[in-house]
Amino acid sequence: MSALVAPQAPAIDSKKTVRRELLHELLRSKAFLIGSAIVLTWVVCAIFRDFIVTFDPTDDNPFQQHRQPLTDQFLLGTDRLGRDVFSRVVGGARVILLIAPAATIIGTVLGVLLGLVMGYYRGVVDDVLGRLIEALLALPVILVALLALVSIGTGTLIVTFVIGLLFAPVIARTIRAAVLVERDLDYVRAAQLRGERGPYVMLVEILPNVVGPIIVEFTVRLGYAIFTLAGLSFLGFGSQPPSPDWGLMIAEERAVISAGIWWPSIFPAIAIASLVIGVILIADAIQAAFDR
Amino acid sequence: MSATDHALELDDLRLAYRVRGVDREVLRGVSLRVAPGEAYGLVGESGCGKSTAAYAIMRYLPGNGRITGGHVRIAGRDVTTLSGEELRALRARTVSMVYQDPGQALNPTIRVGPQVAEAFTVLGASRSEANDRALQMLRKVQIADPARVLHRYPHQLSGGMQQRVVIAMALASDPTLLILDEPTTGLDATVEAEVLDLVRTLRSEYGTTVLFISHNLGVIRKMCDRVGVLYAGKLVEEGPAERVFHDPRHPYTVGLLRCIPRRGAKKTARLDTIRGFLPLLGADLPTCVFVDRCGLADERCRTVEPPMIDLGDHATRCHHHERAQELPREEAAATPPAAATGDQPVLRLRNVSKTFRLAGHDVHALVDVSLDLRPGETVGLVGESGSGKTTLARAILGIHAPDDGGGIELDGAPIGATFAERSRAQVSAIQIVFQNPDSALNRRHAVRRIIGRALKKLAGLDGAEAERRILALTEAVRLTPRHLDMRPSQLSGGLKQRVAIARAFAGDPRVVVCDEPTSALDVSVQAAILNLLADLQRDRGVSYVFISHDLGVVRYLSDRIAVLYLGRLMEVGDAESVFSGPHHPYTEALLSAVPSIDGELTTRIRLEGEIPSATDPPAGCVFHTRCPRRLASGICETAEPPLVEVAPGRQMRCHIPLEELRALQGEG
Amino acid sequence: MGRYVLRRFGLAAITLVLLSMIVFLISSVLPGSVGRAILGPFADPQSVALVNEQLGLGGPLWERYFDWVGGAITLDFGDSYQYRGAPVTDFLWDALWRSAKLALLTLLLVVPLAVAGGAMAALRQGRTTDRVISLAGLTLAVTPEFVTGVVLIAVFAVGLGWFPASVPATFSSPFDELRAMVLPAVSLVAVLFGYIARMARAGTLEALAADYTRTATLKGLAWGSVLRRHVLRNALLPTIAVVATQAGYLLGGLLVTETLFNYPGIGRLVYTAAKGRDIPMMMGGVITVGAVFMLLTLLADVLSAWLNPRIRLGTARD
Repeated sequence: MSALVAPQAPAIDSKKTVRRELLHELLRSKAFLIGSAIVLTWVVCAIFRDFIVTFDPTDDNPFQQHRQPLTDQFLLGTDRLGRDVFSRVVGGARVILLIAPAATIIGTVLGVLLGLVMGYYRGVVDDVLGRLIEALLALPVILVALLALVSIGTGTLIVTFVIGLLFAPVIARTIRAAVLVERDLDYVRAAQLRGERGPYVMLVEILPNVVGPIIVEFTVRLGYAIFTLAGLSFLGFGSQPPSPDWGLMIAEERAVISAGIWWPSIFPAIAIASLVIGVILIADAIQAAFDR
Repeated sequence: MSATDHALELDDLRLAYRVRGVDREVLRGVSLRVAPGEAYGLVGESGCGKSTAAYAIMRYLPGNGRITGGHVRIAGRDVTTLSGEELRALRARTVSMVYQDPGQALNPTIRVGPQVAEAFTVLGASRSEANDRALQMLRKVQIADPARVLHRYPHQLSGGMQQRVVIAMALASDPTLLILDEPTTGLDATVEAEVLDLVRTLRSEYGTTVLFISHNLGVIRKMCDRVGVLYAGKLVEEGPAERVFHDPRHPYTVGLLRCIPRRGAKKTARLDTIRGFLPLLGADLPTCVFVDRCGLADERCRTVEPPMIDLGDHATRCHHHERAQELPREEAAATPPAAATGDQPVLRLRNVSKTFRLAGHDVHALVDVSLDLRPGETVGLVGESGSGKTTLARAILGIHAPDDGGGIELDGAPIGATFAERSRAQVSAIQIVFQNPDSALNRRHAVRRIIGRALKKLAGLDGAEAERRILALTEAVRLTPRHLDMRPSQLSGGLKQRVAIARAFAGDPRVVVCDEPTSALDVSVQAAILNLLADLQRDRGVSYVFISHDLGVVRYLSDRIAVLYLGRLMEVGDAESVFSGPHHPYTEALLSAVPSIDGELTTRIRLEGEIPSATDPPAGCVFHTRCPRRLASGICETAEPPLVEVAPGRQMRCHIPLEELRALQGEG
Repeated sequence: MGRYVLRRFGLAAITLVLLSMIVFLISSVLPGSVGRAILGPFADPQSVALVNEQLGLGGPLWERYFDWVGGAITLDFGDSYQYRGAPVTDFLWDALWRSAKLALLTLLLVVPLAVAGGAMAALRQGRTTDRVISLAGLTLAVTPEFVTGVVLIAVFAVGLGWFPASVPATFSSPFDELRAMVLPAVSLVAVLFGYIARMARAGTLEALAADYTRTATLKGLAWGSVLRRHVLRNALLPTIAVVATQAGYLLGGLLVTETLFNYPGIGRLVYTAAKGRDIPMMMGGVITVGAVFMLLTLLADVLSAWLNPRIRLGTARD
């Protein structure tokens, strides 16, 4: 109802101002600023790892200083092999920030293509793919991933691809919904009525109009990719020792928490939590900005 | 007069919405008074603040809306200072509202009975008492079989029935003031007429004061004693409805009235328009709010804000009210008539039928439609929603393939049933202008790209030649080259529709289907688009298939009219004779449902019941279930009349002979 | 309504068949490795081939699929590699029952909490309550279960000693069992709270903004009645479906949580099978999880359809 919907900004805006508005909206959002600060910190850690770490993340400590508590030398203590926890946590950023975005990109590209095809063509294509996707989505991602990794074998590349493939159906479902809305708009009909072919309509007419949902979905999935990868590492099916992977570090050291040695597992736990939360805060802010 | 004598009084009401930290003024000091028992109409184009005013009276505003000044008094009580509990009591007992879109206004998960009964329990009635009174109330609003309707869910009722239920709830408390906010917008004209009749009947019975809000001047003219014209959050003119519409004293009212095709105006007489655009929401308008768009504006108008000038019981906010009607025209009054056109039809529909399969049932959306379209001619398609207008348009465009046995010819040669089976020349020859330009234009593409791509696909043009043609088309639809680099979001509704029209004309079409091309636009913009369509037709000899629910607009642009009912042609003939009569009884009903701004007396005939389902059309004449002139002999119930030529160029599907219809409809 | 339910059942059946194919295909990508996996890297190729033969891994893919699916229909998922010939089913039901108890406890805790939280956030939209609930929900929802779990263990098991850090093999009393389930359940609640609260909030906001809520308010109803009869009633509908879907994520979360707390449910069963490359056990566990999830979704769909008159009574008008 017109009277109850808050009036929108005037329609006369230039293309540049629309983008600037969006950016402005984001920069005014505390969630976005906090999220970006967290993510940027980890990105800096990943890129400038070698300038930040005080020890080599994978090197056993030559002085056999196992499970040292926090000291000036070992900022966050050492683990059971005497490795410096601080250096390992910093080094872990590089591991996750390589795999997670790669997997998410694979999933997004595949998912967007699937979503476009399903939403645009509907009919049999949609029915068949839709059933398949529903079947896949009946299984928690981590469960299928585990099954696949056990049967194929594990490795960084394989994990990346498996996660990417398993994310595609979720993304496809979201994009399909967005495409269905667009498909019912008359500009699509107008394109068909001037003789445009399917790929043109999908890629040139519809795709630019679903960029918003794609960006939001990408960011959200990036968060969950980190979440899932950490879970797989925790279970021992992700990165293998001696990689400074956060999930792996927790798995290796969690047994000794009861003995009061908390630092080798709690710090990587904080690292994972902060990175996922940072990414999700950004995703949430972007979604809010697009929804306006 | 003391304040308590008014049922409603707005006293310098000011209201602002806070958008991105800035207060944008939407109501700029509106003052009006409505006497007890009076019906007051508030008219204006979209964005003028009329609905905002209605909700401000109920003190129901979105989170960012705030009354910044002035007072609202209902029966002498200042609404702006009421406590929460007092406000609730006021809404329960004193003021009621009827909304646009009744389907959304009713709760989908609660049956009609309890929803209506709520309006009584809130007044302190017991459960069973409330249920009894709900039943009585449904009877009052003339719902057939009210006991049954009580047990229905809202989605099981038609739009007209839903609105009756909303009206029943609104009148439950026998309110002092009833606010109707566009209550019939979106309903078919026939249903609209019934709802309006009902409101009139109930008003005379209850003596309720009414504030009626509408963009439709005809509806206001029919329903209201007095009328206020709202522009950019200010009341610019006010007076008895008849006076304001016949002797307008504000240039905006004058312009608005000139935009509407009236009294049988034809496309050879151009409609006048209002220059410029509505000011942006909350724009700074220190003097006359209309000054930037007014042909009479002078230095005084730009420096001194005009007060409300009292002209007896009529008032206007214009320095030049005495010569308001001398407002210079924005458009030349007449245009040269179109060049003579050939006799060979450009488009011929032969026995086109279309059957959809829906949940195991056949839906006969079109039944044996044969229709010719001559070069340079406009055929207007008329009928209620569900009559098959859109299906017919889609069949012509090749979106729906007609059933076997029927076909479409272009210039005497049969063409493919769907657009995919048509050649490029055939696809270019038949194009469309959609209803909603927001939906019709890709919001991510610039205007140049939209038109350029159409030229490439429809005319096969590229490079410099295409660029030349883009400029030519831009000029033809009265856009400037400056607009080419803009995206749709930067254009107003009218400009967007011009882009859509340019796109349709890119391949030099022979036939353009116009599917409600002005329904989403305000009247002042509609006039410009209608002028443009008429100009393009005159210059290019293109033919239009024109669909509109607004019979005035159809009459203005059409040379011939085809009336559809349940997918069947009921009447075809040249526009003048179809409108002047004698009419097919269905056409007669459609025409008499239209409220006129000029207040001409139309002999209203009522349509009984609702449009039957196309899955199971009535036997005999499909219209007999609702026909007010059904023959006593019973033939209408048993035999379907054929579509026959009753006069030269005039076909009709009715058992009643033309002369008899002429006598029944009582005119010459 | 009958038609709708029938259709939903048909679709679910098709989905289940597809699910079985997916599970089978994924686990059969490298069939030869099974014998090798059991016998270890130093066994001679003949023995490996013999084991493969004995396990029925010789035939063509489709034949093996039908063998497996035929068994699965009669709830026979074959024999475990790990436990030398013991039927998978022997382990499966016990584990499923344990997980169901954990899931039930989790849902009993999270649903009322999250629905109330979401509705409250919606009613205080934009204010501090909303921000706190929304942000806390979001943060908890995206923090991996084992991260919350590790923190919970550090604080409540090690630090305060209120609950056991690891679930013992046997319990002395039902109360002991419940006490052992608290920490795993809470770590799952943390993840689910955010999702469900977010949906409840969105549903409530939508209902608050709906025209029928405006009608009810302007009818003069007291705000409490408007909320009870009009807003929450409609807001709850979509939340039902969400709860069922989230039960699916819950099943995924069980894998990690049960492993972390050593809780002998279906998650840990799959994990142990994965560690031991016990493919039949994994397949049995995974398809059971999928089937349970689909059953829940189906129930939720039917329930929300039944609550929605537009579906229950069809869209036909009088």
